[in-house]
Amino acid sequence: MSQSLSMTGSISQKKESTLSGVWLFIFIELLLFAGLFLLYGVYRYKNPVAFNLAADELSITSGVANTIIILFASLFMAYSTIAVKKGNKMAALFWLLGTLFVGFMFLVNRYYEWKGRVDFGLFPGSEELARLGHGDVLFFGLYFFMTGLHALHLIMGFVYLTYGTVKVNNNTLTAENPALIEKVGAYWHLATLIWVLVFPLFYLL
Amino acid sequence: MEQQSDIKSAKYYTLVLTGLIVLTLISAGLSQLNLGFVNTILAIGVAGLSACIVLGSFMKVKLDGAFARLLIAGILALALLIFFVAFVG
Repeated sequence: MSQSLSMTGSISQKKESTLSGVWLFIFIELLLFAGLFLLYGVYRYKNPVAFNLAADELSITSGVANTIIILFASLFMAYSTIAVKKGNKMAALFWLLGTLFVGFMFLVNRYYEWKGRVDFGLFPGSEELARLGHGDVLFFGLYFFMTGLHALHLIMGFVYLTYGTVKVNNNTLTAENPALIEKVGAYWHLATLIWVLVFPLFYLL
Repeated sequence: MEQQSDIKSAKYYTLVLTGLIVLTLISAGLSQLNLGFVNTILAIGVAGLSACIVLGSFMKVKLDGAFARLLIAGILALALLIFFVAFVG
């Protein structure tokens, strides 16, 4: 059940229409992040040295760990989609719960990373950050806002995924009616897509 | 029949994951080298490639048709704009 972006596809097809709502939401969210990427680019251009120095305050190891964690979450989500489509309820439940667990691990890592920055006084509004200068304020402002928005997306994904898990458990999400798992999957994978684009901006550049 | 062919195998997704992890590690490794502005190109390039893989495999987006071409052109224009404003301009 591929989601074609082609304009030539028939809009009357049921499988296309059932996914259109979630894809519209995905496009809006991508546009929001595109605006934030542009904002990051402009601020980095205006404060190149401050951005380079501020990025050194973040741990590449932590960023790489979170990237690998969220990639595994997407893998488990893909496994659950396969299991639902093949009508294997127990496998679907196992992988859906696995996805929730791995996603939670991402948020735990995010919490400790944020806590580390807050403990050093590197958070928007702190005197320590204000002392470092305007560029650092912008860098950490964007860092907390973009990673926070991403975490919020993931938390909403948790709610959606839990709803899907309950549906699978109640036998209302099955191989005969798999549209919901496609939508949940698309929304969940969007978190991975956004993260692989956010990761280099704050950890590698 | 169509539905059956649309279901990718677990092995396919495992290979995709392996590829994405390798790309992440390469990207992190390259960022440790002092290559000047090339670092930026490599980091953004690898991130773009990873994003395309996520879109094409996990999200199963097929980029065909006029709208998709417009979308790709828009994304490329935005990426170039960010790159030039931030790192070259």
